[in-house]
Amino acid sequence: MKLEKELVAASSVPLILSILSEGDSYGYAIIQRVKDLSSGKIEWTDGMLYPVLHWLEDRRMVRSRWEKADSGRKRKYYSIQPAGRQTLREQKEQWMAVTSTLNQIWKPQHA
Amino acid sequence: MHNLEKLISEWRKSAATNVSAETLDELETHLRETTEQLVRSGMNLPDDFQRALDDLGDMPKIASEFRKLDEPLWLPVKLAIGVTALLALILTVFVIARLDSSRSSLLLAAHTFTVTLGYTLTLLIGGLGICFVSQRCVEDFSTSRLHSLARASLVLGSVALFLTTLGVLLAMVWAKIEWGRYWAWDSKEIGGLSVVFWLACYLVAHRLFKRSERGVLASGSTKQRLM
Repeated sequence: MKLEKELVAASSVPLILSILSEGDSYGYAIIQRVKDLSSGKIEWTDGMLYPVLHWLEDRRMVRSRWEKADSGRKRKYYSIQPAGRQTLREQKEQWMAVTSTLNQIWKPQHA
Repeated sequence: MHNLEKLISEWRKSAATNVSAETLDELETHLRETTEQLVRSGMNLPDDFQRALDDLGDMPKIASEFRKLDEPLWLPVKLAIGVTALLALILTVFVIARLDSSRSSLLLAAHTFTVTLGYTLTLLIGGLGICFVSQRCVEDFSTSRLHSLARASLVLGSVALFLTTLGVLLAMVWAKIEWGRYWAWDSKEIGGLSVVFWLACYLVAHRLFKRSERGVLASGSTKQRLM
């Protein structure tokens, strides 16, 4: 089962912010983390992650910096900012509300 | 890995026109990571690279997503910039035409030029605030439009503060030469100082409410009423 495009798009911001709230990360690692967490059900076109990251940075929700990894490769790391944490809190509440509503409707009926 | 360098270099050449150099660097890092991961899984390099490219997606599509981040300027902002540029041109011609070679005349001309542009920009920022509030009565602004608008008003406010402050300072030097004192507390001086003070407050408000562009822009309309 693959998720629909609209749902994947809507969940991209809370997913990225949630992953960054665990610690600084970079594009490739974020995509791998999403694939692992969703067992491959959420599939992003890799290149589409970067416009979202830049959008978040533009709105000061995340901050980026270039850093040399142990392998010697330069990577652009992203870290979550206070505005990002605030947005994440708000998004979390909204997604929880949707999940809890659907769970109540879909819970097994006990006759 | 020599071949990978060649493949990356060819990819960069074909993708260079679509996105900025920094974004290209970031996407290149991603391509390298994906390709190396696939190579470790035992495929051959050209195929791995092609698969990494497929995973990355179409460059024109990615570039179009990046272009969406650059919200075009709102019409009133364009008009404000246009009016300021036109006024600067007219003032330059006017000031040069009336200039004589005395030091005090040069100072006065520079003061007139800077302070007139500073006041006009201040009025235009207020006008932008009014346009913003008026349009919001009809339809809401997108987040990116709000963001671009807040950035434009910050730049215009900073330029206005710089020009007005410079204009007031030039007037003080001129007053020292002509009247023998820097400051006389006359109405024009107090007016100029008030505008400097107000613009400084406006920029502080911008800083304080940076996460709420609406508040900042609305403060522009308040300023217009106060002026």
